[in-house]
Amino acid sequence: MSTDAAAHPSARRRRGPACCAAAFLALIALAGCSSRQPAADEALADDFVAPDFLAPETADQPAPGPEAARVPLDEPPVAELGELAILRPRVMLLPTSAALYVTVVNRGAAAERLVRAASPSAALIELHESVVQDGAMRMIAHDDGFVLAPGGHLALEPGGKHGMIIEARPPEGAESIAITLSFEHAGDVTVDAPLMTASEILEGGRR
Amino acid sequence: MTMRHASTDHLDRLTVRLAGVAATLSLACVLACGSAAPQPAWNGAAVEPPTPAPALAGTNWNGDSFGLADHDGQVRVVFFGYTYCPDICPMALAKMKQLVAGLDARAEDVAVVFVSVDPNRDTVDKLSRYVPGFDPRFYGLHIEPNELDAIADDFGVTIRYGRPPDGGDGNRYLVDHTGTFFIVDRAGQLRLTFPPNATASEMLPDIEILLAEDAAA
Repeated sequence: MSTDAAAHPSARRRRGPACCAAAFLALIALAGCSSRQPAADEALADDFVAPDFLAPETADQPAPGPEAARVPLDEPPVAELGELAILRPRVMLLPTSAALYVTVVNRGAAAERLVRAASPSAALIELHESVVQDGAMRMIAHDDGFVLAPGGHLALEPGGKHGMIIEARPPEGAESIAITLSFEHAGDVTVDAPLMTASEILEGGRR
Repeated sequence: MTMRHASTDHLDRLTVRLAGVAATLSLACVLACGSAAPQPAWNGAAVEPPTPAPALAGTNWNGDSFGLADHDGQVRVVFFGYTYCPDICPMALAKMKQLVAGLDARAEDVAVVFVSVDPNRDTVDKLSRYVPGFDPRFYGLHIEPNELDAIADDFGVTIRYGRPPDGGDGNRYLVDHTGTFFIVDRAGQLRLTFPPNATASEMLPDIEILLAEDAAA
């Protein structure tokens, strides 16, 4: 997990110990700290005015997940398909929801596209992306899949792109489910994705 | 007093005068900053000035009624989500689990409150199969739809319900919602907010500062 708070977007909104210093400077400038109040957020909807304690959010930020949940690209793949390497597939399984995370590295010189993910243990897997829009968490459906640039990679990870698994029905006692990833050019590859708790996913999802 | 040496008396008066100047300076400081206490370097965004936390009441996952104000004396972390939320909400709850692990025994002075933005699907029964799976000490609130709207407005939380797929399961929809963590101090003041992608290790030091404060502050 990242402990480098300074690199975090929230650091931008940090209000330092200015009041402490200002206590001394107050002799000179009595106005001191009162001007440090955050500006009211922009209206989130036509009829909605945010209370001024709601800190302003930049629109359409991606919602990057925790660093610990990120897969190093030099990790040994669990499967290869042509020029594609499949790294650390994993499924977060909860009583009412489930999500697929995996990283795919494109070592080829041509662009590729993940067009579909499927499992015999799920009704459907939709390709989605979590984003922060006007301060609200939104889910964007990527019906056309996700593009992998030549030499690039695709990371489905917490807080960003992911597969939303609908009606996950793993066999009783199963520790993993089969996931088939379909690519536009390379075709299909089936991998075993371990079933994990949210905490295991948050802490990296290694098994 | 009359027996005292004149120069001592003069010194005494000087001391009184200096004390008066010091008091004036302190008052100036208090007036300028609203508080004589130095502001800590928060990781979260400070709510300035702190405001009383909006009223929040609902039914906990175990069927008990819950009121945020009933937990004065505890630091409270309030966030909104829903159990069908595939990605962000489970991560938020898993972060809370990390947070209370980091607090160790002091966790009993912290109330973690997950408020469902999807009361139609998130019944108390559904919440009872979800929230305690993270930590049975966490609160998971079902709030009736007509009350939820006002509470969300008070917190500055937007909730937008997606459309179910055409001709498909009408019970299958996504809910866009504000993912902010709201931090309420022991005295019931809203003090800090964190964005949805904040980590437990960023929140922990701020919570510790608030835990060290007097409940009556």
